[in-house]
Amino acid sequence: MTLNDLKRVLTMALYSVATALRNPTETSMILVFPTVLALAFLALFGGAAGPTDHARAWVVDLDRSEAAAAFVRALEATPFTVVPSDLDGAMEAVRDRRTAAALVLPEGFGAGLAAGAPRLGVLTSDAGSEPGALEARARVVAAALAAHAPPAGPAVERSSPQGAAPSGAYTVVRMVFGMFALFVFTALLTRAGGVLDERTSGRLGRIVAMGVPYRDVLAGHGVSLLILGVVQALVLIVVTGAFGVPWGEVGWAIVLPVVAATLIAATGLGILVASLVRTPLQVQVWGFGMPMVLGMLGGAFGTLDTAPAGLQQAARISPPFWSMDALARGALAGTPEAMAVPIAVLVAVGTLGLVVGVQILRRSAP
Amino acid sequence: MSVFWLVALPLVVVLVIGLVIGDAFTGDFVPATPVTLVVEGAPGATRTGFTTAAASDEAAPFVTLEPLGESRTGDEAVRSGAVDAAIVIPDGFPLEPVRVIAPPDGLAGEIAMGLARAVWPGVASSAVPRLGWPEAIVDRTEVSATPAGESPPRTGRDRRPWLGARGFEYYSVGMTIYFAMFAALAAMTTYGRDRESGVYHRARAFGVGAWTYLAGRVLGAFVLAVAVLSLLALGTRLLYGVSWGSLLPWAALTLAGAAAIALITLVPVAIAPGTKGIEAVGNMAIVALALFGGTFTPLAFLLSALPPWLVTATAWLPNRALLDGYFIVMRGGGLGDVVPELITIALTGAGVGIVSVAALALRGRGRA
Repeated sequence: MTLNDLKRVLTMALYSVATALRNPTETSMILVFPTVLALAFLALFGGAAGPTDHARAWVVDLDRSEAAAAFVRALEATPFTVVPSDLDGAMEAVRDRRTAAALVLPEGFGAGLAAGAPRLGVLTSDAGSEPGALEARARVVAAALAAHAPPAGPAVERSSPQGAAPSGAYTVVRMVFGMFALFVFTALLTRAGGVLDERTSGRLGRIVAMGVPYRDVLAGHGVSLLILGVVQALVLIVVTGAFGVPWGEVGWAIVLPVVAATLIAATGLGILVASLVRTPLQVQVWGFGMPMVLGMLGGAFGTLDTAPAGLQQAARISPPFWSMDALARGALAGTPEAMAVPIAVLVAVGTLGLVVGVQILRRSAP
Repeated sequence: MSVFWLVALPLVVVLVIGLVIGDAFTGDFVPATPVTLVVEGAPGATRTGFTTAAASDEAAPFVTLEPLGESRTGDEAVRSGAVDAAIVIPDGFPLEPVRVIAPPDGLAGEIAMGLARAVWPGVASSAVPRLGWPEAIVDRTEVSATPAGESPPRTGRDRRPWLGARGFEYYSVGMTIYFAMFAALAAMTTYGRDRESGVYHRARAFGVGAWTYLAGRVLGAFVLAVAVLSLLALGTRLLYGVSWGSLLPWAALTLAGAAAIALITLVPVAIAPGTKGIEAVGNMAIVALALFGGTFTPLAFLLSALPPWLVTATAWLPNRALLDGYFIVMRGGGLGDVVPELITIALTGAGVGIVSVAALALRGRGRA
């Protein structure tokens, strides 16, 4: 392939990309829609990824002393979201099961605390139950205050192993990357219909008749898919990053290879789909239907831990599974080497799709 | 091909999600394989409390307790892949938090956290005397006559009828509504296509009124939505055993829901120029409705994540009202139980339809 051939391929690829990006529908499907959806999920569920819980605690302060106020502040730091209430309101909340229990700081609580023997009331709907989280934390906090020990922290904290991505950051990145893993296949497999459009409209025949080698046309199409995928990934990462997705906390050495391998797989499969489709409806089926099913099967929307064991194994036929697996392995180990197997699978899928697709397309050259 | 899009694909999607989600949102969930777990901490009552709970019969389907073995710490055991999660008891327990070390995502961390949180109150209360407060007096006052225990079964009058729904059940309803919206949009897109291809103007030349033509398209969208809602209800019933409840309230919800969906598809026609614009705006509107209407995320989780004003707002989404209504009927509700949902669907559908027609009239679409 000469330099002129390369220029020709690049020109055709850029023309194809520009055509796609000038089309409002394609732009919205390739760039706007995945990004907006990712941001919507981020807004809805991004905050739920924190490592600790913030349970609500109804507290009735009948003592109103400084010691009681200090107790409430310490309880909030454990952390609890304290809901100040009167006795009737707390009883109603327990009765309505808005809370499993409520705390009552009786008159004399502060004096008891100073004497090392405070009394606490616990309102609960089941007097025979084991100590609940609120009661146990209240006891620990009161004991710490009475013993002048450091205030009690959270009961349980979750953390990743040393070197791994922080749990909260990874959860958010995984959520957004799942969108990418789904929509990159949707976008590139749908764009694979471009070859069909050119064939049915007669443009492909005219281009080849003008002396452009058929292989250059195919190469231009493949490069255009790759460029579109790169643009989609860039927009998604930059925009969601601007809205606080902590890509860097998971590590660019982890994120970028996974994104690149996913792009290669999607491009290869895009060429394969381009070789198989014969009607626009088939493009829709391959472009929209298959990625959606494969994305869900591959865990793009959430982990497959809740799925039956057989389905967890069956998920390996889905390319998005390997994308998500690569990200998970890299995030756990903190090193790119841990992603070698899933990335090799993605590259193999892309290469296989490319080789088979080109062979089929060559047989149907105009 | 249309059968594939409107019936086969939704059924496949429900199958995949149903299998993946399974019983995860119900109290019956058990993982395919138990999570392997180590407990790290100084020997004593506290550590025994955690290990006893992890090794109990109750925890057996969820957790398999492993010895630390060659790993020196729980962190190392998780990092090396020897176990799925570790519970680390600090020397300063209970003033310092118990640490759960697990991969940054997945079930292992959730199960280990659940176990640690469940065990913590008991062992922490036992540890309180060591902090220098031997009396540790706590009054426990019973305030309710309602006996603790099993929640009452969900009924047709329940305000949250979808609570405890299994994956197949929830997403059969969610995806049925979702794909009915797409079907109606596909029908309405032909309006734009007809205008571009000249079919519309030829029909107008033969004396068909502009509003009559548009009404015909809305009627087509309504019929298609009814067909998809019915076929998918039948398909999920036959294939996945999902029970949709009594016929009469179901039919009322289906007809009202299909009418509202058809009217909603007028919105992209009113605001977007051309077929591709209608498709783009319509697709995004449907996904937004699905996102906030509980199609993608079960409402039990969605509503707990949304701010209160948005929770109130989602109650006015016709697809959310339709979803609520279907679940009320599935839980044994009759026609009278779904009247509020029917009113919501009717009001929102009519409101959106009137605004869309007004917008079309302003743009002159009704005359051209």
